[in-house]
Amino acid sequence: MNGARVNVRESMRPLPRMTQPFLTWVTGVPPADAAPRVLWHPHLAAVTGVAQTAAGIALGAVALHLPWYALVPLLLVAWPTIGGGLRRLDVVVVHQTLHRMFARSDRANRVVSEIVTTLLWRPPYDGNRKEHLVHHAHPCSFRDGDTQYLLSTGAAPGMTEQQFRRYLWRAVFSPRHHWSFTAGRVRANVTGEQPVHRRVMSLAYLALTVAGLALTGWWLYWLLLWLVPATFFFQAQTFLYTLSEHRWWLFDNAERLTKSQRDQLTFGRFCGEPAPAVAGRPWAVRQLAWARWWLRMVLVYAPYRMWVLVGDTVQHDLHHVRPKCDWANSSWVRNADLRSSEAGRYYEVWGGLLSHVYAGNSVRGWQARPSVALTGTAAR
Amino acid sequence: MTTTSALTADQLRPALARHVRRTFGPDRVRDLHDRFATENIVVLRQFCPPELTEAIAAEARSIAERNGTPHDLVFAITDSTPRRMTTVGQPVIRDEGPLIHAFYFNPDMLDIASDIVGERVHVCPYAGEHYVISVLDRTGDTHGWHWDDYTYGIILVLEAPPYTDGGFVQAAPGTSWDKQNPDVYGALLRSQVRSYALEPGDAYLIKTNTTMHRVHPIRGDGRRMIVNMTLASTADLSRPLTHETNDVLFGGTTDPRRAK
Repeated sequence: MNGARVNVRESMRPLPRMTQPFLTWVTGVPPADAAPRVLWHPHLAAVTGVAQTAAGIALGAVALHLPWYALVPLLLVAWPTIGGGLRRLDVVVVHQTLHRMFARSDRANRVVSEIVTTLLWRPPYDGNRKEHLVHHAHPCSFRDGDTQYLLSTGAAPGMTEQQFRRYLWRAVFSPRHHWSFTAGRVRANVTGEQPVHRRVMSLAYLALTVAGLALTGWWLYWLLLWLVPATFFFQAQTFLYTLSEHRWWLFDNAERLTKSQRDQLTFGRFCGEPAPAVAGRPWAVRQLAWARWWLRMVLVYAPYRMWVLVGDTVQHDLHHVRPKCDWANSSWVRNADLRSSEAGRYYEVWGGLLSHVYAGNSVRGWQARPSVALTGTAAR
Repeated sequence: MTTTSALTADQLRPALARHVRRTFGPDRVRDLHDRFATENIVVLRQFCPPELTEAIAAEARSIAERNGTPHDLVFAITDSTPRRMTTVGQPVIRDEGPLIHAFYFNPDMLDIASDIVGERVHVCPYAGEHYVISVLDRTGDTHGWHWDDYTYGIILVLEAPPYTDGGFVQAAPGTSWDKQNPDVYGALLRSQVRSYALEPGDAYLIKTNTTMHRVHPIRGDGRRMIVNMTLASTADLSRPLTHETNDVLFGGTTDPRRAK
């Protein structure tokens, strides 16, 4: 059901060479024998997050001066783009600081984390790190805060696709869900349980925001281009991401698992579908099939990568197998692992958002597949 | 899985959600919150609508008849208080009690419990304490004075005798459990004991780690059957806790059917 036996990424190999970097980014998988031309640096992940957020805000700001029929569609693109940029800063940058893998020194990781999480109203460094290390020690257990979060939204294994889609709609738009999420973010910043320096940072940020808005009068811009995407969209995107982060219910949320079981909890969330096999078919059929395929790659899978499955999160299985790897180049590192004796530790699901959340939540008929080991060496 | 009622687990959530929305408005929840803050225990009258109570009771009764383990013992760890009761542990209920399982994992239940206690409550990190069935049906049966390991519990009352036959719950809030030197009488002297009569369909929410509580012994033809569900605070999720009494009384995560 989830991904045919055909090797999806290899089916794209005949496409022009200039399209391959785009396809590698969208799918999360480089061609089997390819080697990176440019290596990414962790700091670029932060730059990308800021750039995407800024681009979304700029688009929204332009849209606010246009007639409603242009404003509405542009705003509907701007909002998740801003949310996706913030998600990059949170789930990529902050996440790696928690592993002390964003900057070289512990202090720098802490400083970056505190600044970003203050701006995003996310939990302070120490508590966040402690909770995240529990997640790594006992992933998907009832001790794992992410498991508890999903349970609070009504997630459960064994639903049919239709039941799960109903649950998705309900949870994405649930005022209770968003209120609880937002309240948690506010509490984490100002209730007094956080370190003094952090409370000072949060309150100073709040004061500067209010003062800045009072001076400029940009209330409407702030409300529409910051508050809305930083709450509803950011939270909905976080929820959709978290649902497929693991196969949450695979081993009944047991705390003690074997290494092999733990490996099965996480899978490569690869995006895309096999390139059309239309050789020998009439010209018009070939053109239609390719047009449809490209449209889906550009309009379905690429936005998913921009808005929900951002950065290195595609290869989240690699992160759990080797948290200390060169995460900024995860797609290449994972391929290298598939050439090693570690190959048997990786699983994958091809498709889009629905395929991934179905597999993550043991929706009836959905599961992850072991990744196929690669042979030979990558080109230089 | 064994389903003993026409109501399915899939139907439970919307049925309970509708009922809770209708009967637990903001004013009532605020009142319950205030009372819980004072007494550390609060009765949620008719938390379950009758049709749901009957379905869950039928399921629990059927499970207890097949798998119930009678106990008659005292626990030194709770100052030698008695346990005379029949119990069923979590692994059996998980397999044979889809309604109880669905009730426990129902986010509406977790939400309303969170609103009342004033902090987010979670599913218990230790599966053995998710839900257990307890039946008192002989004169003298009791779940004696004790505390629990996790912070909160919600108990769904499926059968209850009239208070004249005992079976009501008693609580002494603001007391603490020193497992090395448990002092039930000291706790009784230092705290104020309150008693709460219950009816089928009621639930009670209790701060179990600092509220010593017991079920008053039943007498006559009285019969009491409840599902006890443990809820964790956020702090509980990262606190190492032991489960001695649960493991002895309810079997923890050990499935007794495998031993047979």
